[in-house]
Amino acid sequence: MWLKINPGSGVPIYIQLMEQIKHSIAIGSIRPGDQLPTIRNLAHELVINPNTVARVYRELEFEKVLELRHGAGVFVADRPANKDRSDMIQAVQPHFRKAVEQGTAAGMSEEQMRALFESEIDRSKSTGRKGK
Amino acid sequence: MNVPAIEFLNVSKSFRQKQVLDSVRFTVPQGAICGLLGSNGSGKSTSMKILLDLVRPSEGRALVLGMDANNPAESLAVRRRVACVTEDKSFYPYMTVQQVLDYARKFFNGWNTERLSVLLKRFELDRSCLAKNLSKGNRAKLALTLALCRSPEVLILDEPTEGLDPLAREDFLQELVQASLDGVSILICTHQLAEVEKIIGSIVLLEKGKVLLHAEVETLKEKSRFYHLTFRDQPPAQIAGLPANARISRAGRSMVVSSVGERWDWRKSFADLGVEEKPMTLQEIYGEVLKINREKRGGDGNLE
Repeated sequence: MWLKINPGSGVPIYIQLMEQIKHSIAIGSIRPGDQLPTIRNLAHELVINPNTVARVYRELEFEKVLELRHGAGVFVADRPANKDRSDMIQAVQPHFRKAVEQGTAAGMSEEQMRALFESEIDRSKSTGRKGK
Repeated sequence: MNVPAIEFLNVSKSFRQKQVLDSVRFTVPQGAICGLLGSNGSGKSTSMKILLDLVRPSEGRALVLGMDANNPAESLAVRRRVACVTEDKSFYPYMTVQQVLDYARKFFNGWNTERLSVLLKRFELDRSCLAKNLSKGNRAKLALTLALCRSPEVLILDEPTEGLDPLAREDFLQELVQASLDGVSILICTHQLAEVEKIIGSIVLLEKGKVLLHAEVETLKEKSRFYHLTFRDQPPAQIAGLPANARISRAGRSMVVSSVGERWDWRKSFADLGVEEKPMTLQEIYGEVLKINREKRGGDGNLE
C-alpha cells in the first residue's frame, strides 16, 4: 500500500486517505486480513494530525472496509464487500478508460475531461437518487 | 474528565484606548494541535502573552490546564507546565549549543535526556557550535529541542516554521506530531497556513481582536466550496437562500459563490445551469472568511 497526501489540494486529508486505502484494496495491493499501520505510525510517517488517521480508520470501519481488533490493530476486513469492490472496479474501469481515450483523441485537455466528469456526477446526483 | 489544555473565556484586552482583544473565546482540548491564525495586528501575540502571563486581560479569563494563567497564585505553576518557542530565537551569544543545553536543563525537573539525544541526532545539531552562529533554521531546531526536552504538557509556538527549508520543516513538523502523539497539547501561531495545515486539527481565526472562525480543519475543508456559475445572460442581482458565510463575485456572465463551512444547495435555484464546484484550500478559506467579514461590516475591502 502506498499512501501519498496532497495537503494543498483543498480536499480533506481524511477523504484522500480513505480513497487511497479503498483503492489499494481494490487493486489487490492489500488483501483481506492484512494489517494496516497503527494510528501512531501512520500519523508519524505522513506527518499529519493523528486525529485525521483515527477518523480514516473509524469511517472505514463504519463502511466495513476495515476491522478494528482490540489490542491487535487494524486489518482489511474479510468481507465480501471488499471483493465486490474490486469486481466492481474491474467491471467499470474499461468504460472510463475508453471515455478518456476518446476524449484525448478528440483533443480534450485533462482539465476539460475532469470538469465534464464532475458535471456528469452532479447530473446523476440531481436527476437520480438523492445525493448525500 | 479532562480539563481543556487552553481555554479563553471571553477575554478582552485594551491598551489605553485601543482594544486589542474583544471577547475572545476558544478551547484547545488536551493532546490537540490548534492553529491560531490572523493577519498582523489581529491579536495573536497578545493572546500568547496572556497565556504566559506577560500581559493580563482587561476582562475575562484565560485558563491553562484548568488553572488561571493570570492569577499570581497559579501562573507560576502554569508556566512550569507550558513551554513556548517565540518568534525571536536568540541565545546567549557566548554559549555553545552544549552550554545552552547544560544551562537550560538546570531550570527544569522533568528534563528528558533520552529525548534530547534523539532530537540532537535527528536535527543534526553540532554541540560545539556557538549558538549565535547557527543558521536560522538550526536556531529554530535548537529552540524546539529545548522546549520539548522540558517535557511540557502544553507547547506554544510562534511562527515556528519561518526560515526553515522544506526538509527541515518536515523534520520539525514530524517532531510536533510525535509530541502530540505523546500527549502534548500544541498551539501554533502563524500566518504560514499552507506549511502547517496538515498537522493542525482545528483553527482559531482572529481578526481585529475578534474570533471570526473556530473550527475543525478537515470538516471545514469538506464543507467549504467555490461554486462557479455561468449564465446565458446577465447574472441575477440577488440570490436567495445563500449560506450564512458566503459571498458573491461576478465577472461578465459568470459568477462565483464562495461558501465557508456550509455547502450551498445550488440545485434549488439553478438546477438547469452547469455549476462547477471546487474545493477550498485552508489558505483560500482564510482569505474568503476575511472578505466575507469585511463585506458584512459594509466596508468594501476597507481595512481601517
